[in-house]
Order: sequence, then structure tokens, then C-alpha cells
Amino acid sequence: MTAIETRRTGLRVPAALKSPTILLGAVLVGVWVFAALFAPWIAPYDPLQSRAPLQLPMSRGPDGSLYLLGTDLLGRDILSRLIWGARAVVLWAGLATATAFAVGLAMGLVAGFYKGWVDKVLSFIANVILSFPVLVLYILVIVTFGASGLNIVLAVTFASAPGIFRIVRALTIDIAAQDYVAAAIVQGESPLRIMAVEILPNAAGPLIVDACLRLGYTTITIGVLGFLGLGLPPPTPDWGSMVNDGRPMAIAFPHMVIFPCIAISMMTLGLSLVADGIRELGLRHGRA
Amino acid sequence: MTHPSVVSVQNLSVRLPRGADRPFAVEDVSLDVRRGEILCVVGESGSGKSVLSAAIMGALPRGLTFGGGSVRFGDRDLTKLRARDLRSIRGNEIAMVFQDPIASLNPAIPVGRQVEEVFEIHTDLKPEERRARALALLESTHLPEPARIHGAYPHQISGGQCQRVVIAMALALEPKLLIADEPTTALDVTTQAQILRLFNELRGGDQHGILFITHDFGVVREVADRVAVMRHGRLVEIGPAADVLDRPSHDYTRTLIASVPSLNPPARSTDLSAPPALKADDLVAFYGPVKALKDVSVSIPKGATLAVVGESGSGKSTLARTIIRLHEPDSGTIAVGGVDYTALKGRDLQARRRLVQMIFQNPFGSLNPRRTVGEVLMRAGVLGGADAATARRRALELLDLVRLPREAFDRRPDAFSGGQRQRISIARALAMNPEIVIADESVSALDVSVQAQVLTLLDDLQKTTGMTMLFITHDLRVAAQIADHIAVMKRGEVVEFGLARDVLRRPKHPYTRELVAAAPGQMRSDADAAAE
Repeated sequence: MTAIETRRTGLRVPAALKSPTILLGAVLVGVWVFAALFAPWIAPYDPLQSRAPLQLPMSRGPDGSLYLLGTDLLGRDILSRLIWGARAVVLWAGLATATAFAVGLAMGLVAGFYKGWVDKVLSFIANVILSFPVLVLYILVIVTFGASGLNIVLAVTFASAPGIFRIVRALTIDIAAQDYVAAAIVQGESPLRIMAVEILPNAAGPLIVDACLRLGYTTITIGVLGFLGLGLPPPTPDWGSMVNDGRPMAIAFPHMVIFPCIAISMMTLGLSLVADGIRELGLRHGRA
Repeated sequence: MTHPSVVSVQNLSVRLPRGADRPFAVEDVSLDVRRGEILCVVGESGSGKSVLSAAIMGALPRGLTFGGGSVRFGDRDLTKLRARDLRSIRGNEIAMVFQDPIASLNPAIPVGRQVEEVFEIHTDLKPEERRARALALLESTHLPEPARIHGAYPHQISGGQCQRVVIAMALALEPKLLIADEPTTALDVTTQAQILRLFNELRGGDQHGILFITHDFGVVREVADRVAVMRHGRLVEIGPAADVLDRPSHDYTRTLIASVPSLNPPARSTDLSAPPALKADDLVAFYGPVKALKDVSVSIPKGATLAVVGESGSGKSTLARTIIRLHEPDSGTIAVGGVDYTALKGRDLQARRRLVQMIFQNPFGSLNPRRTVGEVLMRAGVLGGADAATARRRALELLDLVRLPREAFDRRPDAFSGGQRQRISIARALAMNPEIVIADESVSALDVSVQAQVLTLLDDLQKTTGMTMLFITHDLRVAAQIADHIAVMKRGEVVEFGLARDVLRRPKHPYTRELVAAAPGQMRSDADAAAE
């Protein structure tokens, strides 16, 4: 009766490192996070400086400098632009996803915990937003408020928060029916603390998975907005707008389009792999 | 009298996957089921009894492998057969009845069709013959109006009726062996009694043997010809029912049988003239359109225990949840130690919640898996008005009180067994110094031996802390062991209320009489009563 096993809960970091899926994903994402953090030191050239137009990958310019991934129409080094562009993506995608989650979490917890009319109102708002095509929403927001990083955050939050809201709400309703939540209510615990301590940590698994996936979608979104000319204002290096800039001459000089596309894919694929890996781990541990 | 055996298990071992708490789920077990008998395999959770039944079906759960021995069925060894050959034996020659009758039936197909399907798969009977056979089977399991039941969907008939349909399906092809895995555990006592009667009738035929898996010695006493007791995957003892139940040769069997609560209430020394700690008057509560409580009034003297007994749907849990204000009453009043508890709202209510605490039913759902036992107990203490240091000291004292080691403080719930978790829940309730503790089926999910320990613990705690207890249970035997008063509920009403011994020995209401009669293991309590 007194024997206690020494097993512990939770996804431990070493367990995560044993999953090849998570490792591969982390490497793909890690490359660009590293690039974003250390851009000034690792970028070979100034991303905005016009050096030698239309150099092919691995070629040397007239001054003998090496362009690993070539240069674009205006002669800017593509590798340097990708590295600096990673900064924009990591920063704005991260920020946008974080705000979307903050809004979605708060709304979802409140709706799922209190139910009743609060839930009805919030769910109605969410459903109305969700009934619009996402792309139309983005364009609407950006066109109304202008193209800037903060407006991308606004647009992504506006479009993603309802989806997050729905997941959080469903999880909350499920967890709120557990006896440990009833026990907390019976102890006179405040609703805020019940949501933060009893409910949220137990919903974390699926939410982390969703956050990884959504970070990937947001990367794509920023790419799409950049491509449509609605992203970060030029000349900020931005993967999406790089694809657009290279588009007219893509047949002759595919490298201008292919490398930014690969960058976007690496980022998205990496995040999806991490999400998949975490979900698998969670399943093996009997939750998520 | 000895009949040839239908199935013969010899030195059977089933290996658990690496990393499990023991190497074998079933270890070196030998037994046989004879034609015309019911062999009961009894054991607590983790004893390997269900794995044994799966092994006999040749269907081991994923990850488990045969580790030696044989299961001889006729001239075949079931452990060696290929999946295809096993399939033709299953359902045909060996049939199974599971615990949850409703989950065993397809909700989208009328039950009669499901019985007929058995013939469709295994025989080439014509449609009208199939229908006739199905009706005959439904009738043989004593289903009322077989023609009507034949066309009914599972949700249109009761749980007991569903189990009869499942039994009818199992018997359809006249199997040589019927395996019943806890077939009455999910049913109410009165329904259980009826299904057990049906099993007793089924034995009569000379066609088959029945292997009956159960955790309940009361049930064993009702149906078994022979009993096999299992523990930790090994066979502890096996023999004729009378020998094993009344003259057990093994200590473990003796302990198990002694743990089965009897219907005879022990003498109690509670002062029943104390003023009421809890008084609920004319409570009315709805669950949606259903009136779950119809003018229920209960009162418990300070320091006493009231057991509320009833079957599923009687409103007993609603009563508990209403008193503790997890469910709002539509009318009526609740007074706790003289304070009008129903009038409290919002923050006032939050502040007075301490007065009434609850021990929940499911030991696995009532503790937040992310928080350590210490965090849980300290938080309860702090909410109860203590400062952090006092709460910490008190949490450690509470662990002593519920007889858990102090190391438990830093562990999370998944490190504990069901019984240990229930102790943690008890400690959490006590950490707030409540006036009243409500135990909602708090020992129902536990093995008998653990159940006995927890009941003793609650009883001791009541003596030391003077707490008042409202004990909700479906099990009259448990109520008999812990209660001063018993209230019997049926369909939202209290039909009988009185001192425990009066209600159990001289029940007035016909429903109470039915409940008392249906409580399994009567022979034992009769013997006890005679011995007194």
C-alpha cells in the first residue's frame, strides 16, 4: 500500500529529443531561427545593397565576391536577403501567432467555463468571422489599415483567433467536466485561478501542437501577403515579396524564386513535423 | 456428477510487455471448465483474470504474448491456432458476454436483427427460420414480449434487457463454452439479481460450461459451482464453491472474503441526539426537463453518517451535488450548521464553501494530473484560511492521517494506485476543516480489500475529527458498514429513512425490501445473522 512508483508526468525534453520527427523538424526550423538571431553576423552582404544584377548561384561577381545563391534583378545578394528575411518571418509570424493565441485562449476559456449566454455570444462572433474566406479577411484588414508588420499581426489575429477559440472552448468544456475542477469549485477557488491552474495546463498538449501548425500557416500567410504586395513595406527583405519580385523572370532565372520558396517550405514543413512529433509523443503518453 | 471438461487450461503463462510491473500477466495457471458448471474466476484489479479469459478466447490484448502452456479445447490447442481458425471457433463454439451490455450492441440496428445476424454469418438458415430462432432465444432469456423487443433498438430497452439480448446472442449457436466477463458489474443490484438468476438457469443445460469472471464475492456466492481465486497472475486456490467460500485454505482468499462488507451493520456509538449539522428541506432540482429531486428532505446530526442508497437514476448523486451547490436547487433550503447555505451567492458562497467538502467517485478523475499532492493539499489549506507554513505542516499531517508516506507530498497523482488516490482526495477534503464531508460513491471504484481499508479510514477519521458525513452509494452492504442512518431513494424521492439496522433488518417499503433481497451474497449474511 505504501509503495509509490517513481514515474513522473509530462513530456520530458529528453523524450522529445528521441523522436526523429521532432528532431528533423527542429533542425529545419532551427536553421532559420539561427539565421534570424545572428543575421548581421552571418549574412555575407548588406541585403539592401545593389551589387551585381542577375548573378547565378555559386557565381562570382565582377569584383570577385561569391554569390552562393545568386543575386536578384536589382543585384542584391539572395542569401543575405533570405537571412534577413528570416528575421521578419520569425518575428512577425511569432508575434502574430502569439497574439492570436492570447485572444483565442482568453475567449475560449471564458466561453467553455461559463457556458450559457457568454458562450453563445462569443461563439456567434467566432462563427461569423470563420464564415469569411481567410484570404479575403487578410486583404480586407491590410487594405483598410495599410501594409505593415503590426497590421499583419492584426490580420492574423483577427483571422486565426476564432479557430483557436473553438479548440480551446471544446477542450475547456471537456476538462471542466472533470471532478478535479468540481473539487476546486467546491473549495471556493476563484474562476480565474481554476481556468489558469486546473484547466489550462491540462489542455496544453493539443494546444502546443496547434501552435506549431499555426506558426507554419502564419509563415505561409506572411509569404502570401508579401507575394500579393500586402506584406512588409519594401525594401524590407521578405520571402513572399522576393518570390513576387523574381516572378517576371522566373523562367530564365529560376533561382530568384526557388530559394525563397524553399525557405518558406523548410519553415512550414519543420513546424508541421514538430507538431506531428509532439502529437505522437502525447498519444503514447495517453493524451494530446 | 463430474462432467468432462469443455476447456482445459494447462500451465498457461501470458507474458507482459517489457517494462510492465511484472513479467507475466498470467503465470502457470491450470484449470478446466466442465460441462454443466459455472466456474467463477475471482480476483482484484490486476489479478490477470480478464487476460486469462482473453487467452482462452485466443484473443490476447496487444503487446501480450503466450509464454508457455496450452489451452485445450476439444482436440485443439487454442494458443497455437491461426487467426482464421480461431475466428470460426469464436462465436460458434466459444461465446462471450461482456461487462457493458449497451456497448456490446450496435446502437443503429434493432436487437432482433443483431441476434439473427449471428445465424446469418455462421449458418445457412432461411430468413424466416432465423427470425423464429431469434424470437425463441429472446424468450429463453425471459425478455418480456419478445416480438416487441425483437424490433427495438438498444436505447429503447433497459440495460438489463440489453444484457439478456447479449446473452441470447452468445447462446445462439449453442456454444460449448460461455465466457462472461463481469456481466453484471455495470447493472443495478435488482437487475443484477435477475441476470444472476438467468445464469443459474443456463447452467442447468448439459450443453455448455460457463466461465464467469468477477471481482465480487457476493456474486460468486450466487452462481458458482467452483471458484478459482487469482492474484498477481497466479492461481491462489481453486475448488468447490462451498470449500473456497466457507473454508478457504489460503490466507489471501480469507482476507478477500473478510473484506466483503456484510449486510449486517456493526454496532455504532454515534450520539444521534446532537443538533443537525446538515438540514435540507423540500429540495427540488431539475436536470433539464427531468425532475431529479422531488421534495427531498434529509437531516444529519452532528458527527453522524447518513447513507443515501439508490440505484442509477434515483437522484442520489443529484442530491449530493445540490447540497454542495454544484447544482442549483429549484426550490427548498439547505442549512449547514445553522447557516442558510442556499442563500449564499458569488463571493460569499466562495468564502463559505469550506464548510461542505466532497470526496468524488472516480479516483482517476478527481485529481489534477499536473499538480503534486503537496500543491493540492496546501492550496486546500490556504483556501481554508491557513497561511502557507501552517498549510504545509497540516498537509504533511494529513498524509499521516490518511496513512500515506510523506514522500507522497512531491509526487503527482499518476504515481498512485486507485486506493491511494482516494486517500489523497480524502486528505484534500479534510484540509479545509469541513463541517460536512460528502462521499459520492467514493469507494465504488475500488477493489474490495482497498474498499475495506478506505471505509475503516473514513470511520476512524470521523471519530477523531467529529466530521459529519453524507455517504452516497448504490451498495447496501457498504452503507451497512458505515452509516448511522440510511435513506433509500427511488426516482427522486426518499422512500424510506431510518436507523441503519432498522432499514436493513426490517425494511418497510417494498422497494427497500427488493433492494435488500437483491444484495448479492445473502447466504453469508444469513449465516452471520444465525451466528449472532
